[in-house]
Amino acid sequence: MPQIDPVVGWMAAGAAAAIFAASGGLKFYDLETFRGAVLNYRLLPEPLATPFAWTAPVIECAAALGLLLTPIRGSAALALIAMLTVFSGAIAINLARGRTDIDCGCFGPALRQRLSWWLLLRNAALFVLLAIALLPMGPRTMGLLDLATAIMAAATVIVLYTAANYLIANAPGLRALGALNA
Amino acid sequence: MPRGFARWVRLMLEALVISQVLLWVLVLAMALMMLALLRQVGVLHERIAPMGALTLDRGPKEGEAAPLFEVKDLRNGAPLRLGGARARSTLLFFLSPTCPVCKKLLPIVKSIRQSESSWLEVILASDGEPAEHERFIRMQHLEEFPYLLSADVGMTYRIGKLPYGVMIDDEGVIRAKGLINTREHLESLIEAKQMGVPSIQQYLQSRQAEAGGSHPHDREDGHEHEREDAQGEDQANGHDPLAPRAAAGKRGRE
Repeated sequence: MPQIDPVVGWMAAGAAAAIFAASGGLKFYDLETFRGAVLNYRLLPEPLATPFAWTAPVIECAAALGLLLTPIRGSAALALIAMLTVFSGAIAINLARGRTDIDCGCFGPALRQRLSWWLLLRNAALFVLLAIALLPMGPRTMGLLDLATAIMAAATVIVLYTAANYLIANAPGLRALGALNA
Repeated sequence: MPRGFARWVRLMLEALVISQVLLWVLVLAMALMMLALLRQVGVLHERIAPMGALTLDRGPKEGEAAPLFEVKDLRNGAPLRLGGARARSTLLFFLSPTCPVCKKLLPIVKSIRQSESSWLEVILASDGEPAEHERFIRMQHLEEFPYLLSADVGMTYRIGKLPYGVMIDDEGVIRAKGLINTREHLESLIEAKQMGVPSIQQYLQSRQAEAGGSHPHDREDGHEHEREDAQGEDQANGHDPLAPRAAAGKRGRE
């Protein structure tokens, strides 16, 4: 198995941990909205929506924490990859059905995003982060500068990820404006 | 020579470390600036978005006679007539038990039913299994509303998204209709009936036309005022223009 430099590995693990902890936390913060979003995907029968809406954010938060603990980092990354596959599949199915007006539910009530292929591209970026976190880290000893680099790089990845999500959320507004002025 | 070289390497390393740290700080600062900018773009979109209930140009149009229907009231099987001349105007409110925004709006619909009862009858409309809707009526205390279950009505009005409102006046003419996400959207339907303008978009367009062609400033001003009144309530109710809503899949484009 290839090894990854610890700076890059910690950058990916740290950024992914923060991203998934935040999205799980936001879903948990307003479970009723998330349950509504789950139902809107029309993939689960109603009795199953509540248990799913409860467990998904819990798994997300727990696995996010696991990414920061070296012994279980691999399994945490695998759990998140599985979860992200489920979410991406649900989005893809509804995109294929043409149901693009429903809310993604990705961030609970904090940010509304309608379904679009951009969400899948964003999830692809998360897959890359998780794949990096899955790899074992090389034996290089981390110095102070390495630590600073890893922290700053992780922070930058988190901010860029959030910015990309705002771009995705703004897109329908811009399109609606274009339609209004046309 | 070796000593001079070692000193040079150390100086270089020091410079690189400083430059590295400084660059990271600047990269992060730029990313944060971009994030702030994109948030502002989102806020701007929200502020200039159309204010009234969003009109989707499908189904019977404003100003046309409402299609005639005779359906059964879910509560007691009594016949419910839609369209045609009536004693009062009718607000058809399309909803579904699985739509969170509908539930959030129900208290407002209830208060409108009471305060406007002199001239307005509010009818709830949906489709699906009667048992599910009967449970919904019990849980949300909707016993006082006429409640109709008819895929036919939903199809005729081309309801693609919920909650959706249609205002039919006492002569059976559709006065206004649109997707409803907030209290303001709902009130805009009532105002549209009272003012005789089918939608805020058309009101703004007619104002624009009066002002002599496109005068963007004029339009922005109009929004500004309405937005200010609206925002307090908007926050109090926790509504969001993009809140998840159940699209009525069986009827829409699927």
